[in-house]
Amino acid sequence: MTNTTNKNNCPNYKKIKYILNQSPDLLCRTIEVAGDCLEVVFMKNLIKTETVNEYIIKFIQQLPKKDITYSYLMKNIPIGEVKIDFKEQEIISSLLNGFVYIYLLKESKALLVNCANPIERSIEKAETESLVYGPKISFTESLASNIKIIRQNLNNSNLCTDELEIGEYVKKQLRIIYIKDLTDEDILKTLKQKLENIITDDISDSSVLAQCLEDNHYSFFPQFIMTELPDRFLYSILNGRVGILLDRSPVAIIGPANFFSFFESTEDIYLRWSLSTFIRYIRLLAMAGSLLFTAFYVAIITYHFELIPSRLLIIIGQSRSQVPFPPFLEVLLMELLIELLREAGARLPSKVGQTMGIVGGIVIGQATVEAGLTSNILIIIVAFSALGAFSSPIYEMGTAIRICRFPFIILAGIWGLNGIMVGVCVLMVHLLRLTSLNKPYLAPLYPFRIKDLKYFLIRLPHHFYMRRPVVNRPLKTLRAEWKLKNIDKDLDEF
Amino acid sequence: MKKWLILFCSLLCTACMPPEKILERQGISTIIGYDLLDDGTYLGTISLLQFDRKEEKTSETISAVGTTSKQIRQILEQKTSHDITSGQLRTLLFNKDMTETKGISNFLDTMQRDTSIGSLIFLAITDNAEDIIKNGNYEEYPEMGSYIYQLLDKQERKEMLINSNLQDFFSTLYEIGIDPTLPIISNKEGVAPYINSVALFKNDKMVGSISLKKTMFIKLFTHRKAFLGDITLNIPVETFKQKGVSLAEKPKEDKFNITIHPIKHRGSIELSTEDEVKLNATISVSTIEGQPAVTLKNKESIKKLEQLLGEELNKEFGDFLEELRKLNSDPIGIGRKIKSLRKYSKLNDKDLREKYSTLKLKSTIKVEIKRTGAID
Repeated sequence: MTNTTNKNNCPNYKKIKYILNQSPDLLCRTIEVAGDCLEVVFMKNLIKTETVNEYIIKFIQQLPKKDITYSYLMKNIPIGEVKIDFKEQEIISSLLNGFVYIYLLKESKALLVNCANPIERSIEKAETESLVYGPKISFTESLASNIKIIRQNLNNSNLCTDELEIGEYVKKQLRIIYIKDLTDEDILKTLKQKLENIITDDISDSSVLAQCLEDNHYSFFPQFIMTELPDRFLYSILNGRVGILLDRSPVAIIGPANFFSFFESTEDIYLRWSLSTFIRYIRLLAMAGSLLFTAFYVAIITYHFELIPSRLLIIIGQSRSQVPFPPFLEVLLMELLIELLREAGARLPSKVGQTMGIVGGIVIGQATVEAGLTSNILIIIVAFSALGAFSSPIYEMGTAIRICRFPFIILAGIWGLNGIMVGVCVLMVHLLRLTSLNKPYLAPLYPFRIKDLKYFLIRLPHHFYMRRPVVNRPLKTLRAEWKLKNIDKDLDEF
Repeated sequence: MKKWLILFCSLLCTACMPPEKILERQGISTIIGYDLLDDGTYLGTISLLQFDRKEEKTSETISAVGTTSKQIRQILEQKTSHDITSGQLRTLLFNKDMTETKGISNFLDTMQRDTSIGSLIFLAITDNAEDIIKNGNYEEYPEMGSYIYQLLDKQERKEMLINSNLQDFFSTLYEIGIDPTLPIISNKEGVAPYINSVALFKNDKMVGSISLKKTMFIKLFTHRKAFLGDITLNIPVETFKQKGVSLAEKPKEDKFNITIHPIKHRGSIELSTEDEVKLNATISVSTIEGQPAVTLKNKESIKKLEQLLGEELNKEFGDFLEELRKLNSDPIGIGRKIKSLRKYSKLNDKDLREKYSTLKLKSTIKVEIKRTGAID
């Protein structure tokens, strides 16, 4: 800190008003104490009025004349965050962030004190990733409270929250969150490089940032986990991943992500292992079914009716007998209808949306079958695949699957099952090539890491999880060490 | 450029793609029956699945006359608005006359070469295939083809029948030294068709038939893992007395009836001398029913009963072998066993049949009673 540089840089109220384009919000209160003048400059909507009144204006007015000096104020002003060393640019941005600028006319020196009063939503229950079991707190739009939540839950000195600023016009604070003695440095380096390369006017949300950070921008698949759950965030950080929090966005970014981590939920850890494993498989199966079921319907009805068991054949045949469209068009129509219903439902207020979804689904579904526009077997299949897409705990994976379905339906319509096989091959090749922060996307399967399978494919009882998953290359692998056998049995019980 | 090339290649690949066969436009045949007419042509009858939601009918039967199966099919196509496909074909029926006089391998050859027909379809013989397919009494939803398929499939799964699908038929037909068998399905007014007996073949021509029960003797030597089916024997009480097996109560009739359930069996064919074949078999059984009940408490009486049952079975088996030899049909595969010896490996079908008719066949069947208690 050097005061000499300060002297030349500190602008007065007039100059600030000029820089801020004569903003009507900019106020200046001139205080005179025994002949010495001070300018207290602030943006009137961004500060907490009581603080300014009580702790700045009142405080200064009470001071004896000898204390109205820069050095005294700097040391004694009763407000926590005080900035003294700054450039002109910083003054403006601080003012716009709710700081108060105190300018001493005599010394032509100034200091900035934080009286910000940001608009904040209170901390609420998670909505997009609601859990039945486990903590329900969710991130909010305020970076400060998000950091607070994380610090409160992970009170370790090695938890690093590196600060960066992003955006040219709309400057936003960004925090890279990791645990210093766990996280692989390569991951951090890649992430920081990528962040440095992003030069933009504005990053409107963390989801935009995640898209900018992706390795393959054309892929249908999300390459970062987006979560609003602090516990999920911390679980990932503790396994050697890196998290990013962006100010004014309630969703945190976690990377590197792999394909199977999109099918884990923190609930899997909270619930008992048997159910968790079962549910995890249900999710994976639902995903595969949602991706391929309608395509199979098209392929089998159009090309390979031999595959249908004979009892099912008559049922499907009867339901198809009056449909005027080929199966391909029929499926496309129904899939688009379901997407339409979903989209329309999402835009409506939640209560209306629900009723509309149900009524629309039943009425349209029933009516189309009765009118003979589609077979009722297809309605079941389409409903199943719509459900399956929502089974992923991360919303973005569900959307990826919903989109991927359409190429599969088209392939099935052109080439039958062979087309589906072509599609599956292309998808597999794509997933194998995909990376997230330079780490392989299909990680425990390719490259094959047998020890990690228990993390991503199944969920065993907790004493199997003594080591962190190696795919994130954590610096310390040992995670826990508790012995099961050395506990004395209470003999009296028998 | 590379991507376009790949796309182009993939478009070329569409040439190998299957032709479009939309379900509801297909006339899906589940059973085809062939009858020989007096003028030497064939009558083909086919049952097609009917997909009409309004009508109760789930199938439609049409028939046509022609000289080859493909011609019949062509004429059948004229009679329906759907494309006749055979992807769900499950059963082929052949008329007895035709099997006896003309043989069925010519028909089966075209079926075998047709890629849309699976090689696991069942074959069966009937008196009149058209009548069976037109019979309205099927227990099984939705139509006759499925019923006959279920009927044969159940019997095969329960191993009461020798495997009778196209693949099995061909493999036994073309193997030198063994003849195929096929089930015979009977049809009666007012009841569903049922399996009546088993047809014996000499090459691809039917030469005779045996009862279902006797297939056990064939399976004894050809199918190690197959279930033989419960065996019921009716033994005169006299023989019991002679052997000294004690019965719990005196039977009112002069026959003692016993049903045994085979657990395991092992059969071997051995060429002991130049023209003598020994057929040895051991069957482990549990006794499941005796009328009247027999006391099987001491080992001695069990042993005696074993002996008695063995002899009784052996007698039946001897008669059966004699019958086979008279028909010159060899479903057991004695010829195959002979041909497997190096000395006879050059024999052809004709030589083997000659040798078969002059062979001395000696059979021994041993019965071991393993369980006399709970029946599972």
